[in-house]
Amino acid sequence: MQTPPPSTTTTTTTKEKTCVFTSLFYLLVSVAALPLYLSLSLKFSYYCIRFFPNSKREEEEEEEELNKQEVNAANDLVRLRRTFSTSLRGVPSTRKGTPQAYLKSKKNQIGTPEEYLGTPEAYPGARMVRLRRTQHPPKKTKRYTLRWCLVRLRRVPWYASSVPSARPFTDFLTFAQLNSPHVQNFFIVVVSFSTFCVGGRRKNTTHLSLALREHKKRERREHRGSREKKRKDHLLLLLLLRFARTKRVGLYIYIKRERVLGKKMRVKTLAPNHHCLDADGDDQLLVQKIAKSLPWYGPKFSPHDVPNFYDVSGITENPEAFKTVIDVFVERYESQEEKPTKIAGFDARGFLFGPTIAMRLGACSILVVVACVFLYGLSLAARRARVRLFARSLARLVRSFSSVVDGRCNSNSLSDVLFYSLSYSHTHTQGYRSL
Amino acid sequence: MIRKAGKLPGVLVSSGEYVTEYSTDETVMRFGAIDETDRVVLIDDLIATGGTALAGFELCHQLGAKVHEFAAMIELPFLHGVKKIHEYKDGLFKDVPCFTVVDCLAIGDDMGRDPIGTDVPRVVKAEEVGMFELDKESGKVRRK
Repeated sequence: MQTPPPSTTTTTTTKEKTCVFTSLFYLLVSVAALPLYLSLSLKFSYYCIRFFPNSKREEEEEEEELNKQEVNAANDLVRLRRTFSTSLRGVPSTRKGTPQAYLKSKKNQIGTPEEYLGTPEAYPGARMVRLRRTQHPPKKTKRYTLRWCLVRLRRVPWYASSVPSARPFTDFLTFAQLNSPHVQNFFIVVVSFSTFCVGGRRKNTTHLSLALREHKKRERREHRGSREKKRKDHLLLLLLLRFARTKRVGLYIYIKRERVLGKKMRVKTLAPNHHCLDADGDDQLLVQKIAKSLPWYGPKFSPHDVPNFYDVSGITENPEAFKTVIDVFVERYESQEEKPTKIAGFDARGFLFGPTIAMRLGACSILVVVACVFLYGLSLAARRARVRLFARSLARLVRSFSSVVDGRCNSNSLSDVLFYSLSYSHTHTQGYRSL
Repeated sequence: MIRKAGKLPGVLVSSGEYVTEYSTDETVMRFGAIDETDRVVLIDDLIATGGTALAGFELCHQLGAKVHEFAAMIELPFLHGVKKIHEYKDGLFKDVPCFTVVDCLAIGDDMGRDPIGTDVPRVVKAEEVGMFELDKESGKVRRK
């Protein structure tokens, strides 16, 4: 007789029961945990999104990049400054080279303006406001300097031209108003180009150029001369371009030469209708520079049997002298009311000068440079950060510029003004809110 | 472009022959380069007796263009080139200004660049360049 072992059945039942229970328990637990888990994970990812939003991350990256760029820009500025201050310090003028030569040598590092500026046509909606001319500037203008322009101009809100209170600025400024929706603010920097000024007085000039002239005069009196001033103008432009590129902001440069009538070259009249450069006047150095780059050769060492065979290749081989010569002619023909239409160079050395002068006469119309730097649309935080960065680096730019130009300038107050005006215009002006 | 004859392509306009300080030449210009509406600046490196310049003046005059100015880098005042231009054909061009940047007196004798010593040839062969050097101070060539 075989009796089934109840224990086994009971054990199996108990085993089955425990199994069922555990599975049930697990099932229950898992069922109960699922929404919890889901909700948790969702919440977690939600927090993830909250804490590390993509845009935030991008912003951070952007900021980091900007910081990096800023450091680079600062280094560049320091380097530029060093180069300039050493080049300005007591080196004989022949070794210093012209601002053009400097620009050229730095071309690879800085690039040509066209490279990242394009032409004014590239900025649709840009509108030029014409410069007003006055004969008698108010006394105030005496205080205007390049730096002053920089600082004061920063206070011009982007809608300045339509606001009556902005008149004092529009009075002496040429600037472009950019109606593009991306543009939130722009900077106007007016840089004088004194490279084309060979000599002579200007009439009919604007407040700004008068102011610059005052500045120049003072500099000439107090410091060493106008040649350095030219270099400084170029330095400012270089810094601006550099700055604009490293900041990835748009820079709109408008180059315009104001035609100045009645300007007289220092020319000596030898006979009726026979003129030459006045070698005894203020342009003495200029004439000497040209004369002393013209070698002559005796009959044995020249193609013709003449006592002195003069060689103009001395001029073309000396960039500074060549530029001076071309400047003399360009200045002369620019200031004449009736202008030449063609320039004919004689075979063969006349070919060296003719085309160069013609090109400059045809293409050059430069005296006032208006640069507009503007910011593109960003998220609010990034915009603020960028504005701050921008202000900081602009302040630094001005600081380094001013320390190069003029050691006596109180750079701290200058940068404060800049910083203040920047942040102010960005948070409080109508222009900001409308965007 | 005003060139000596025999170098330019195309249809040319000629000034006729003229005598310069150095030689007798003929000046030509491309047909249509200048017309009656133009004001032309004539530019050359040096004005000596004014022969070349007058050829250019004549060329422009015959084409009906007005000469705005004659310009030269160097003037040799003792040859009276400018005077000759102004007196040409009873003062045909007496109203045209002539602008000279510097005269030879301003350049001075110290700009003479004839080599130091008599043993420097007129043309140095390229492979013999090492035998000569440029004197930094005077800018003259001398044998090492």
